[in-house]
Amino acid sequence: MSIDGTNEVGLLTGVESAVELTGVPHREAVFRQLMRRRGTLIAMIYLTLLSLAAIFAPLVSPYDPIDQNTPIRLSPPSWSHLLGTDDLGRDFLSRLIYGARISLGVCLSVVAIAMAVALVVGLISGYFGGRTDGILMRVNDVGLSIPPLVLALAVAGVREPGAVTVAIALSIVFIFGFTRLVRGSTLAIREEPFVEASQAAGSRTRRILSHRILPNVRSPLLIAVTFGIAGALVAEAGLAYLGLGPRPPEASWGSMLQQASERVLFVAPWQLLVPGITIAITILAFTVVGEGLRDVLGSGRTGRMPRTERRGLTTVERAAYLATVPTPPTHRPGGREDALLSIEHLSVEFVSDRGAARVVDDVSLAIRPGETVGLVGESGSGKTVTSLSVMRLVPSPPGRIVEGSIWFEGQDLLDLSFKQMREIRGARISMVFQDPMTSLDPTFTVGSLLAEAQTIHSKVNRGQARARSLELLEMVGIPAPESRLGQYPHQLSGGLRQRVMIAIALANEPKLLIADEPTTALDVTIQAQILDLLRSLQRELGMAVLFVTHDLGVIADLCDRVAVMYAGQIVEEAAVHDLFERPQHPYTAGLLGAMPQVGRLDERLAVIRGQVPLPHQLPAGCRFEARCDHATDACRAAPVMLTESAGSPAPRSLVRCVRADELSLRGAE
Amino acid sequence: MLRLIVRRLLVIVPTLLAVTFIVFMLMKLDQTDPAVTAAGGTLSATPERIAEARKALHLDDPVLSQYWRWLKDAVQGDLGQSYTRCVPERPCATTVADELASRVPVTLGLIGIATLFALLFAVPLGILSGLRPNGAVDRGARVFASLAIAVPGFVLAPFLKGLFAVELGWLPPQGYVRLGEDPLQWLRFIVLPAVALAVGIGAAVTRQLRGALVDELDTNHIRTSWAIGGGTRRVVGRHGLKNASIPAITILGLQVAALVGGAVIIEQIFVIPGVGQSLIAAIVSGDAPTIQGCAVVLVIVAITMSLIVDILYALLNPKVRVTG
Repeated sequence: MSIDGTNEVGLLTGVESAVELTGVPHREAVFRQLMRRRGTLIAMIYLTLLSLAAIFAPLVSPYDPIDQNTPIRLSPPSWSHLLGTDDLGRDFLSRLIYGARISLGVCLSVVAIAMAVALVVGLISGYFGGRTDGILMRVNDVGLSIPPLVLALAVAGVREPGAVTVAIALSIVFIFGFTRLVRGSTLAIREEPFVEASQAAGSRTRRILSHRILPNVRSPLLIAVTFGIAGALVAEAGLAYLGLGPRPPEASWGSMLQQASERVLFVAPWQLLVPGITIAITILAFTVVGEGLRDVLGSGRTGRMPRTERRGLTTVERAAYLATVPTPPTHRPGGREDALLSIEHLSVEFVSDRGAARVVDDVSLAIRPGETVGLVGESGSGKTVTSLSVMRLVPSPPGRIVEGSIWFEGQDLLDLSFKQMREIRGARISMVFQDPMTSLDPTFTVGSLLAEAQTIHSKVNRGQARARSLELLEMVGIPAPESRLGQYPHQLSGGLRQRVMIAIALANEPKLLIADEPTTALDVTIQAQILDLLRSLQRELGMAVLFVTHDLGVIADLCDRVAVMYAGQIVEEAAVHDLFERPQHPYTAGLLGAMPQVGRLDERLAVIRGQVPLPHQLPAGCRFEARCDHATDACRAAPVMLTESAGSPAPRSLVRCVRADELSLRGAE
Repeated sequence: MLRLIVRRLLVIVPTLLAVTFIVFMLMKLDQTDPAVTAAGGTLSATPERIAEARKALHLDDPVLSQYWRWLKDAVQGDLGQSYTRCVPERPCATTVADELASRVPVTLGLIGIATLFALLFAVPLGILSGLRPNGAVDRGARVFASLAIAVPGFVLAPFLKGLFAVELGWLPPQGYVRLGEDPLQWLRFIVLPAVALAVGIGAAVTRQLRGALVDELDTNHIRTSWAIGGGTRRVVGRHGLKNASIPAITILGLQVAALVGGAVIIEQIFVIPGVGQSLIAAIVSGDAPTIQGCAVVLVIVAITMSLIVDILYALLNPKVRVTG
């Protein structure tokens, strides 16, 4: 959810899944969800059958596993011996079933013992922290630094070979990894408010550990145990393979494999298949269950994700949409005549399992050369998606432009190929993003990022690039630019990083700069500096600016014109003075009322009640109606069109409100 | 950067002390009397010879002073003499240290080639899967990775042997030729064991690299790279891959221990005269000095490899490099 574009719709799923995940997931619910996954279901059925077979081995196995019958040695699978016989004529299936007792028994006890010890040590270490934690973890790190198999061999070497020896050796090996996990999970939970609340309320430590912490670290531990069993299975088979496992005639799967590969590899290699495949399938089954648990319990990325259509370029699919509407909107080919950028009837949809959500709906907006236009709206209004659409940077999936055109210098940007679009990005149209902390590649120096912005579009040598980089850094007001070239983004403050971002955007003197909330992530004093910088740069370079923000206050002394967006639509567009003095739409008036202003200190700030409707649940009529103080039945009746408002001076402002002419709304001074 | 290396090297010392101490104490727990082993085993040992061996090996000293003696010698490169191959009155020409010196390069060669093989398939496969999640390559790679992780190297090894050595006869089934003697033959002998080792590790790296790349290509700075007009090769290859390789390298570091452990078993299967083979033989015969020596060497190999991984990590990640 790092990209703002996905955020606006991703909010939907994000909130809902967060609700499901708060608290400890219910045991039955987890089980049901697991059962719904086909792979997990098959794996769990297999493991259940395997365990049952192991428990009731004497009843299920057709033969005695150690009963030798040399005349039929190495016989291939037949009806009397389903999996054939080994080199001593013993029934393979029976040996496999009895072997499961040893293999599974060892694995389960290893994981149980190791987890029991790890719980005690890890909970103590993670909960008490400080010196206790320091010492315990130092010891644990030593344990972790020994290759597990070497440690297991060293321990196993002390005792006579056998299943018990293997179980002890592996338990010791598994303790260290489990301890680290328990400790890490405990540490994370300990900082949670509800644990601190229990501490403050004077609950006894043991109670906090068992009632507050343990239930909350259960999920990661359950996952670790499942993967742990798979790991123990590998390790057990490995040790048995090395001859440290159960002593003949008893055999685990590992020792069966070893016998087959040692005695009959050259005579009957197929004999390897039976234990080999059994081991692999069982490991696979535990891994599949573990992955299922990880997905269901939500501590990992879910495996399913939609296929990427074209990396770095928003998909445009206008034909499919046009077929669904009876009267397609009339387009002006080439866009508005005097405009540098002309967005015409742009509609963007986000596609998810629940269908398509229209996050930008029929947006038209024009920017003249050298003009600064503000695009204002709450988060979720579609303003960021609109601005990203100009750069074709809305990720596909889930985003998809379904209608409209975006005219820029005589071309419809929505017709361009990736290659053609690349020539425009960063050269003719540049973009500055909201979060300077994450928008610069952390592994490159400022100098190389600046140089890259230049070399993509023009042939410059290193010296020229460096000179221009210094010039750019100076232009964005960075003192001692020489010293900054060799630095990495994480060594700069947020304000400096945003200046670097702006320098990168300006490297090729673009005709249009799109600034998407460039100051939102910054401190208030830094915000003012960056705004001043943008204003002076705009005047100096004469470029057009599309300034996207949720903050009307920023717009006032920066923009010439403002468009206000609400729930995917433009609800009002006007010259900045007109909009501030005489807002036409109740939403705009609400935003102005919610804005702190000098001279109105005695008044309480107004609040717009309610929330933006979700893109899946848009009302048929006016989208703001539910939150509007002036709503009437007419507002609910039909979709409201964006119309020229009668009273305004030329150029006419546009407003999307049926009562615009009769309402007289309060503006700002 | 230098500080990072020095700090890591300083941690190695207490780790090695702890490891040797643990292994030494474990040896003392062994029920079989080392004096008997050293005197030629239960069959040939006479009481006099046992007593002699006990005296020569200082086995009656307190355990801690025995460890101290071992440690003092070990620091000077003397890891003692094998109990089983040499007897006190007839010391053999090669010590444990000599033995290990000839075996370590063998193990290192196996591990090195295995890592190379793993990266050779993991890197392209991880990139192709990460570029097109749920595409054909990705789905294939996912199935392959699940299977590869489920089939341990020692399960795969006999099948490889059976197919490529026994059925097809392309490669020798087992054995070893020194790299110095005949590089081509060495390669022929090392291919199958290295593949058996590489598959599981490569699968883990593939998965990690794919996941990291998918996450990485969704980041804000990748969006910046598209926004300045970068093409796929530049954005994915230069920016995406460099960042995605950081978590992938972490996974490689975690796999190092598994690699060393895996090598012990694989050497046994393919009869390769490395440290692992010597360790197994020593465990079976109760040869304490050799077990000690092998354990120390294997731990040093594992720690050194993870140090190399850490340095690589720091080279790619300026946050660690500059502040660490």
